[in-house]
Amino acid sequence: MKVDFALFFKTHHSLVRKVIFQIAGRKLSAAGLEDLVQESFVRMWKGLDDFRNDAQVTSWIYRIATNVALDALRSGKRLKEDSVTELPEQVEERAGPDSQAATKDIVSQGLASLSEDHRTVLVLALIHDRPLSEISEILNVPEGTVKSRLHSAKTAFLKFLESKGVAAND
Amino acid sequence: MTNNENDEKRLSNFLKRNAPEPVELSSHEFQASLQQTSARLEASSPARAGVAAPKPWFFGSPSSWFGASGFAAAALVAAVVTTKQLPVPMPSTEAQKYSVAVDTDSVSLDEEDTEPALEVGQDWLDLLDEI
Repeated sequence: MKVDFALFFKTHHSLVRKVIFQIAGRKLSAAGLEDLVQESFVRMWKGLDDFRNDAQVTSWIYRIATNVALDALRSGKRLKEDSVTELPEQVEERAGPDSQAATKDIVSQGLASLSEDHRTVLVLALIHDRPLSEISEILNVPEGTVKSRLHSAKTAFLKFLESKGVAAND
Repeated sequence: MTNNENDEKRLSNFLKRNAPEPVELSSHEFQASLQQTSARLEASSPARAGVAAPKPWFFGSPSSWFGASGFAAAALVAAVVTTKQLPVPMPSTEAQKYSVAVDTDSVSLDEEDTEPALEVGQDWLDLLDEI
């Protein structure tokens, strides 16, 4: 398969960056995020020949980006030295409780409050619509474990939203 | 769809709408990121990175131009081009110069034909003696 690297980078850059950012969360510095994005693309490009169609490539991109983010969290490298979560009261004072910016901030805090495992499953399943079978392969855990983690993640996240007076409406 | 599935769908939509996203890169930052990644790739795996960076054969290899016997065909083309680039051959001997210059239709090889020329030559010699 002949693919131009610049085109491959342009096509998938935004997705890779989002996945890493959402999984590694607020703990990641800007330079750390950039470093992880680059590392993901190096890993992807090295293994690109093993993939023959777009569906597999997409799944594999998620796998690499997710694992690069999780590796960074576990190693503690590339993280902000001070990753104190912003207090919700401060958010409300600044933007007002009804603004979308404030809601986004609360969602960000809610995701950060989850464990790595729970956050990863919630991000992949509910934000990126990855099927449970694929998440099972990405994380190398049984599908039943993914289901269980997703249930726990949803419960914990909704509880967090409730504590902030936010309802997850459509 | 069950209540549980409905709740999940609602939460999914809510998350998609409000999920944290990184600050978008400017076009300059994006280009810098691409260049740094290419450099990293080149450093970690020179052979594979060759696809990323244009090389002398970027527009295809000789075998892709000519098929299976590409290199032989390329060599032939190279030879033709080389030949065309050579200077036009020039006569290298005196004989060649004269063979080009002489009009063969007006030349006779008979002995008699040489006599008048000899006689004319003698007249000139006599004239010179008189002078």
